[in-house]
Amino acid sequence: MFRFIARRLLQVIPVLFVIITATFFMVRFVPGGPFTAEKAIPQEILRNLEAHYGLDQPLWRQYLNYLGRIARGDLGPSFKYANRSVNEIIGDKLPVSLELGGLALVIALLIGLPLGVLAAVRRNSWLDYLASTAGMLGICVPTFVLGPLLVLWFAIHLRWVNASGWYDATDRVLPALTLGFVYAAYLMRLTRGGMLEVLNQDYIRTARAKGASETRIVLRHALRGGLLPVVSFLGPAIAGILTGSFVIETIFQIPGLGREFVNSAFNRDYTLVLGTVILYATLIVACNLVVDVVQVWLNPKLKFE
Amino acid sequence: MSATPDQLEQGSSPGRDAWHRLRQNRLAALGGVTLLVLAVLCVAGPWFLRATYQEQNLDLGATAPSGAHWLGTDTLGRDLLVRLLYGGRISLGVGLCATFVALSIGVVYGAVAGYVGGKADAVMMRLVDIIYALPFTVFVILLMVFFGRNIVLLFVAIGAVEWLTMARIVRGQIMALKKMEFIEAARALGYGHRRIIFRHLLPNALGPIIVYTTLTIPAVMLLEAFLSFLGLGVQPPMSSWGTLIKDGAEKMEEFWWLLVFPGGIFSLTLFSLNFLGDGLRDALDVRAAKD
Amino acid sequence: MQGAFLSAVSAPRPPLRLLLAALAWVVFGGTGCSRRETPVEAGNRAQILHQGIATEPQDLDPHMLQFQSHFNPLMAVYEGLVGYDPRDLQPTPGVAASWEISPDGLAYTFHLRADARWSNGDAVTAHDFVFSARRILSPALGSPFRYYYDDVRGAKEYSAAATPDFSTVGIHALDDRTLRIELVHPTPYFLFLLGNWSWYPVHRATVEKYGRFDQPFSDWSRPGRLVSNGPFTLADWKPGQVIIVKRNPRYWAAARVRLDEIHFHAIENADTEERAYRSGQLHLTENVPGSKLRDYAAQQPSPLVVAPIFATYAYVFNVTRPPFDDVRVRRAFSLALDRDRIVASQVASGIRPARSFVPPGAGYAYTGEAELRFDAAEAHRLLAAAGYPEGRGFPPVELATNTSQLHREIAEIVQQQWQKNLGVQVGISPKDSKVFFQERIRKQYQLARSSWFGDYPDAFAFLTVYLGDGGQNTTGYANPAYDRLALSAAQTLDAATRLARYRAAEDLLLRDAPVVPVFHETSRHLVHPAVRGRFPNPFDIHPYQGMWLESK
Repeated sequence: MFRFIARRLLQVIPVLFVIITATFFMVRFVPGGPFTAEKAIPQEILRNLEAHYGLDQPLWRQYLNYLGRIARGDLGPSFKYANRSVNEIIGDKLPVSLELGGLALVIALLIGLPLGVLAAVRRNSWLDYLASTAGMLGICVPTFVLGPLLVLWFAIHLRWVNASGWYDATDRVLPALTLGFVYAAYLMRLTRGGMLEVLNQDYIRTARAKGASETRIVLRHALRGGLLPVVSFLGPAIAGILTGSFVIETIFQIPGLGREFVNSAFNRDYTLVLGTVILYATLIVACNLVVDVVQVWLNPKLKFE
Repeated sequence: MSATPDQLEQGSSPGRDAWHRLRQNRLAALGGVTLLVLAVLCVAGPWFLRATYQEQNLDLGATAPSGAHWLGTDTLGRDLLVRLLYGGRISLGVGLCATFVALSIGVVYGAVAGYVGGKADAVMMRLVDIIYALPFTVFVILLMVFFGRNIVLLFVAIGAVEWLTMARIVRGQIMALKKMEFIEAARALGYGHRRIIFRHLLPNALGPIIVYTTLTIPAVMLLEAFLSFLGLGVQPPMSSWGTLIKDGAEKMEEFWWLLVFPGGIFSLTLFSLNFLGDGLRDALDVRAAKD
Repeated sequence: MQGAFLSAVSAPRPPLRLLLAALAWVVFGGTGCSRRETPVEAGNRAQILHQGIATEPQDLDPHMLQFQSHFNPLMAVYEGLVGYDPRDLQPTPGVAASWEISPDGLAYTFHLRADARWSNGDAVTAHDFVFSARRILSPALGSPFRYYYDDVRGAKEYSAAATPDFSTVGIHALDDRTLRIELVHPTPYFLFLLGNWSWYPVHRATVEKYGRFDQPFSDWSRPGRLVSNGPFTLADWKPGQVIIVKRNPRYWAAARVRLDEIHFHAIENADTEERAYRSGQLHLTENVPGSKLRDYAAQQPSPLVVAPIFATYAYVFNVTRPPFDDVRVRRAFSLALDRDRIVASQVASGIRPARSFVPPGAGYAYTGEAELRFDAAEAHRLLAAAGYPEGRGFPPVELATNTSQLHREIAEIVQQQWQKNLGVQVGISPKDSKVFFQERIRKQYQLARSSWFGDYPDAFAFLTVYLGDGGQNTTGYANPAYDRLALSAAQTLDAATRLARYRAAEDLLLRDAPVVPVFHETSRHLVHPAVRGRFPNPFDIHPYQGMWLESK
């Protein structure tokens, strides 16, 4: 297993390199630069700005400069947030997204997994229908509908919490619930599906025939196989949930990274786009590695290749 | 029971068995019928209605459901029912096409990667990682700039994102399945790789694939709604369920019908898809006993 | 086949129920599960104002301001030579206690008050203003608002790096407390300009401590470093959330300042901001979502404050390319707009149909022929004369706008009108903002949305846009006769002649129609009834010195 992990870690470098290069040139292709605005900027000022950021140099040189910078861990200055560096911005906003994502993930796992298992085990019962309906609702209702509805009820009508902001502990509740509910629904559906698959298998029949208790069957035998599709889904999902959600952060005015993923593109903030992409890519690669390891652990027949 | 020559049991194929089981599943049948009705309504319905989707009536403004406008009107006085049906064309179209694209690419890609394994699998999966990490918003803006405001473009953008997770899931399934005895048996029989993948492995992996497809279609439709939230989706005066829901969400306190009806139809579609998907999965489960 | 496991979950046993209840309590228990004191209520008690500012400024450097809405935090922590009367925006003494204007209107002498202090105790001197002018005009800094100094003798040349010597610029400190400013030509609205953020003084020692004085993007204005001279000082800044300023005891008029703190909350989404207002988090909002206007207007009493502002919403043509290079086509498009209808569809927003490009106010009202009337017949005639009878043969054109909801809605209405009244097909092309602005600047459009906000109470603030060499003129329109009229009017002190020349210039502009004004804008804010001392005005400027909080 360790050779497997080591080999995958080595693969990280070329993967990141390709991602960085592709993104670097992709953003330059889009029309409009970081300094295009409603009131046109006089030419001399524009030239000064471009010189300051090195945008007046040939593209290949900018690219090499950037690579050199990254090697030193410096993600460069942000174009939009003039006097702050990308490292600083990510340093400020990432913990917020991690907190929001972590809470939502915990909620999703605590609700989605057990419900999915129960729904599969007690298939076609009222529990299954209830859970499935709730699951479908979670998938159907977009966050930009659910969020405001929760705010309307809990913040405006009941005045239990603030409508937006990230100031005190109670501000975490509604955003985490909104985000968590959606992921819980997905997890529930996938778990149920995976468990149903497995529960029909022969080895489960064998176990039952041998007189094992349901609980033992479910927890010790079926769960491992049933969770396979869930784990495959969780890899990128975790990376996504941890890097924030644009919609949730807009609705609840949360100073997280999710909005920067989108806004940096709209602002043509080249360095911030790249910074967020690098962060996201690293997370994805890490999560997928963990997922692959877990998959083998769940089903020992899958050997590490 | 003994068979008389003229009462020989009808021969059946797995396909026909599956269809039979599907028909018997009431919920799935209901789901399928609902979807069909919705599709027909969206495609053919507007011909029978007087109003067009862009006809504004500024004096009217937003009004609640009434005799003249069954589902009410929006803030520019446009009939909501017509806009909903037109929007359905786009949303259903986007949902189905993008999912189909994601399915085709993802399933084949994931199956090949899972089956082949080794270095090729590693490269293929790293490629998936790379594409997954590229910034989606930048990608969409780029597409919009180069290809204008085109619906087909939406399919491309969304399909290009959704196939990745599908590939990963399929790969996981295939990797688990290919170690099983019946595959070894197939190999011993000398079957070629393509046959093994498409006729032996994939049919057994159908369960999670179908489940995930029933998750992909709503995800695709919601992604289209998200693009509308950003202002990048379908362009005015056209509407899609995504844009209607987004507008409705903003105005839900004043004009509840603007959210309830698009949201309702959206949910109805997804529920139907869900039941149909469940039914399909049950029907195609080769291990379910016929008796 | 029912196992114990399964029957356990079919009816939640007491332990499970207890767990669920505990969970609910944990989730909401912290708040006491009861009505708690909202930030607004707490603020009313403690004189803490909570204001929404849509986007967060990059920093509090007044020379590098990006958006108009960032004026508010700047106004709280800085003070210029003059301030504004909260009701009519008449210039009032600020750092300058008094001033004299020479009879020819070319020289202004300001006498600074003795007790004007920076927040660290240093005295505010005339040299500070000279230093600040030198900074904002320095070519290396690249301030986007240097043009506010264009009327000052030598300023334009200095900032264009034509002359390296700042002493050629007409801003001199005669002594520590006397400042003299010389103008190129008499400018009646000059005092008003002096209250603008571009004329705020910056603290020299602080600026130079953290970089060269003309170095852009230095971070001298961060909390803990910023030294300013206004009624409040920067106390804290949580990025992406809130900027907190506290009252400055060293401010010369501190005794008159009644607010204790101001919290500026950066909430970008207008719906989120409105919900924050409703849940008691904000006293003031920057925007109001369009769909909520009617409801708020109907409330008694209503927190909605709608006021006309000195701004015009318009569409512009690219006159360098067909089909809009033909003035008849442009005028046809203008005459085919039923502005009253458009305005009626947005009645709760208080906008007024445009009968001129320059909004009424500032002592000037355009009274020329009703060029901006709705006349479908005349529009038809003009279009036919241009070669497109009934709109036949008219090439499809695209209306570029950015993606905000309001702009799209108006564009859809306008699109319908042109189709109905002219028979032409106009496609709406919502573009991402950057692409939109860039294409406008590069004249890569046919028809585009373009709003304009006047910076000062004079018609020239609008007419300057369409000067032939105007940096903001994206239409390609250039008419020397218009330039002559507008420029000479701007330099005339005599009110009657001035206004007459403005009218003549606007006559030309409307007849040439490179721009089609649609309506005059309003400012729309939600204002909590506890906020006192805040008055609507055409520039949406609300000084904080006179504000306080008082709940009934």
